[in-house]
Amino acid sequence: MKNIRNFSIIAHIDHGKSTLADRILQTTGVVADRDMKEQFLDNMELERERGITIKLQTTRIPYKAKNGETYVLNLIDTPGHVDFTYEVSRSLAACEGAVLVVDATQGVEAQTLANVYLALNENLEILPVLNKIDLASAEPERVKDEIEEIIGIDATNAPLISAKEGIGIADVLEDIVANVPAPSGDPDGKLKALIFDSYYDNYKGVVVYARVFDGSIRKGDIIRLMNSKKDHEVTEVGYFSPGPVPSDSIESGEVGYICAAIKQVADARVGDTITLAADPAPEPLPGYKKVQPMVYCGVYPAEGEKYESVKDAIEKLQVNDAAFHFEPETSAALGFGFRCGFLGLLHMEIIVERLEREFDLAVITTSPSVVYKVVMNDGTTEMIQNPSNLPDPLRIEHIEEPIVKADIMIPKEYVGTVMELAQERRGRMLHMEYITENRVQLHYELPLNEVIYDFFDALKSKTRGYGSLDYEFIRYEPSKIVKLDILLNREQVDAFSMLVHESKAYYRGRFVCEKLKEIIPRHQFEIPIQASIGQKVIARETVSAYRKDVIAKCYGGDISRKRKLLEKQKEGKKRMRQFGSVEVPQEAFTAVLKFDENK
Amino acid sequence: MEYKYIREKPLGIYIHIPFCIKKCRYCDFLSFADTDRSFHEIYTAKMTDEIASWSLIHNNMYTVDTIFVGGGTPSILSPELLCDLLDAVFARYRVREDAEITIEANPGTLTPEKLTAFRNAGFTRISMGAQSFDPGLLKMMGRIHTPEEIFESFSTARKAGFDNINLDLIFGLPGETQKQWMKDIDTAIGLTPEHISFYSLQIEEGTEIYHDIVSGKVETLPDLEDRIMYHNAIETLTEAGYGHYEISNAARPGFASRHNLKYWSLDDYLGVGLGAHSYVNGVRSANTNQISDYMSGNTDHGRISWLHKNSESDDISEYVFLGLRKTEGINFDHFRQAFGKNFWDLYSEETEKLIGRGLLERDDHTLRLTRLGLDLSNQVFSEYV
Repeated sequence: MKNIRNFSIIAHIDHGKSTLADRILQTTGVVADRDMKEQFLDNMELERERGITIKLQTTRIPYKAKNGETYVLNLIDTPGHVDFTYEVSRSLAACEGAVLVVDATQGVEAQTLANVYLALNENLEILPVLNKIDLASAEPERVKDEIEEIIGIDATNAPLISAKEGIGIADVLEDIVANVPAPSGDPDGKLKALIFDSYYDNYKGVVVYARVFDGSIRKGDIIRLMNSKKDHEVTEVGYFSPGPVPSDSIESGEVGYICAAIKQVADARVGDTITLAADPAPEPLPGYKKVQPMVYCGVYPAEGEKYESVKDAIEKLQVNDAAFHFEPETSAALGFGFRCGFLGLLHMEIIVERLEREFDLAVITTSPSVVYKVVMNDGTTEMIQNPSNLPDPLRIEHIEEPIVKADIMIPKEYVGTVMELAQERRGRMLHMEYITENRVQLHYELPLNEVIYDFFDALKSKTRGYGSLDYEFIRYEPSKIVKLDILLNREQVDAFSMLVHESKAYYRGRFVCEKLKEIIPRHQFEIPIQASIGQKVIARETVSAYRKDVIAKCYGGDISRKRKLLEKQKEGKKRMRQFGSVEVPQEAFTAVLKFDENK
Repeated sequence: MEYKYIREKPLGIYIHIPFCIKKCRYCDFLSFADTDRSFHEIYTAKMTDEIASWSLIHNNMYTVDTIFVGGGTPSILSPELLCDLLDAVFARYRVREDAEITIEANPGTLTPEKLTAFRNAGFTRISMGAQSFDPGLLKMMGRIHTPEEIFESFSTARKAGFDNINLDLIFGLPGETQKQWMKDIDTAIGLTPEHISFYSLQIEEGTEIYHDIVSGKVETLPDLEDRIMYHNAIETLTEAGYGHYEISNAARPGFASRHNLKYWSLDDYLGVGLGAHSYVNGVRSANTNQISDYMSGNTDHGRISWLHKNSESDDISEYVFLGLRKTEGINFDHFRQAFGKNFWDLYSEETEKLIGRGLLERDDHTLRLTRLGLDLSNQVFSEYV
């Protein structure tokens, strides 16, 4: 056990976490140079494209240190986005140390801090590393000061590296060996293992990633998941290198995987504790939480007949993603579909993209909504995540919306712009602090529904990419929320309804009408598009009728070309949704979500 | 089936000449400018080979009743080469005495000698790309001829003995006025051709006129204006004795283009030359549109780049959406004769819907586009593919 080192790499997005992980695998020979894809650990196509980690990868790395001893380093990856804070915390809980990558050209950012807090919370040894040292704009001394000043960790001996260029990787490995504590635990105690991730495999069932604290797990053991209270027989154990390698057992202090014919990931939740059914531990490891979705939207098959396929796919995704919730719902406009809950907007986008890419399904999503608390006249409350379910306004006493505490870190020259942005989004400033001479942290309370759309993008663009954001839910608060309805040809389309703050309703309504006017093709008749609150129309556009749709010339008997055009037209029609007599292309549903307040 | 019946199966032949003096600004057809005589000779020889190899496949089963030499601008080929092409058909296929043999020609490429030579080669019909009689509009289209040259070519063709002439017109050009268009129609009628085609301008991606529009240099004509032009043309032509028989075509009685009608009636036609399309014996095929491939293709099938055996349902849907281009529409009895099925068993839902939208009308025997249906015909056709 003394030669095991369990560690994570934490960083602000784009500071080079995945690149460092790749370089470590390469340097230690776990992955051959020729197999090295850019950012090996982010193995979902989607992850590589977005430069973020969604599903974790964990890898056992044999390392012969300069002291001549061979160590087993277990690298435990963490997801890299604010939507996944809980998952990050469980991954960190499986480690004894964390390598903190800080971009030497940028310094400490909001997520750096958020991640450090999480790591400190798990009592991890934090090893700062300064990355991108090869760049001319690198300021290692300033950033070291910043780390010491803001985080309070000694950064004097922090390795100066360039993950991209492979500079200083050996220093990081030596640093890990020297400074990450060896795991402690009782090899003969009652089994306690922490689940920090899992994925579904078609052949093996759920593959659970676990860190064993006390005891050991081997094939044939009957294990018990202490929070979900279910027993399973272990069919395989092993470790990742980086592919799965079966082994006899996972011992105290080790990290590995367990297969036990578990049917869905929700049955092996991140944070749950594994023990032996025959000889259970008295209590589970601390920190387990059943994560709650923050953002909901409707997901509907683009073609009604694909309902079953979408259901299958959603179930499969849920098998792999315990944070993703769904339940059937029906929309007058869209038919049968699902109300789905996500950790945040990014999580939502990822799920929708996976449905489309991995399952080849076209889906329509409705406006994302946070969960509103509706207090009725009789004092009862209802939690509303679907605008269509808002009770009769006459019965409502008031509506409350979720508020988050947001920590925004920016260079000082952007303070004015960002304050303006936060103001527009109905933010309340709590306080502002100068972290260093040039860097400012703004603490705000913001309504979650203002954050979920594009706040982060707006922040990035207003600060030329230097702004960073971290937020967490704090409470519900009464607010003037109204239901904005959209009418096509005078008929309300429930899928477009949204709950918005009174002050935003007009802009929002106008935007949706304008967008729909662009997207809805002309019909044989004129189509009025209206936005209304209750009976009051607040915005209106009109799609004029078409006059001409012909192929005038028959090209020398080229019927196939003509047929293709007609088929395309028919296909386009199929991809449209019929609302009364109006046909709406599916992209309309996505387009109305792309609301930029600053336009 | 009787052998005799098969032998007399009619066939149309389309021959594609992909050469032009200059590409027109609205044109996205397969054609090349700046080609020389020796290239024309090689290309013609390749087509002669192609005709020969098709005839081996067709093995005397067909009797050719229409030939259409189109382009491009076929009239820029020398009369000798055009004569060689027709001779290649005559040598390999039975061609009916009264066959309709059309050549497309552009004013400005025609001389009395050429026209006489065409006549002697066997052409019976000329389709002339007049497009407009307005110098400004001709220029906008990038046409190389003047209005005067149209008059001249037309009368020269008459003198050479052509008693079946078509004039092609285009309307709906950016900035075109109703007055300009009516003048074009009147002028065309004044020449008393047997046939007039009137095409609503289609802006094709990649053409010069497309770029003008994208870059904002010119503005497309509003659809409403285009439609007024279209219906005015139909009205004027009808009054002048031209029967409106297809979306964009009108003719004096007995002069509807027999070759083009084959496309709309699911009849057999063979396409020869670069990128040419065929529909023979239920098989649709297309030749390669790569000139180098076509020129080097020395095997029977080396030129064919695409082939599709129509299923019965392909045939049925094509019969319907092509047939509806004809103003007489489709006849339910003919439909039953062709496919042994009742039209209404197959398409009642779509058809009722379209009738409800005012795009189709029916009586006991036929189904046809309404006046509105002529404007929105793709809305109708796409229901049947």
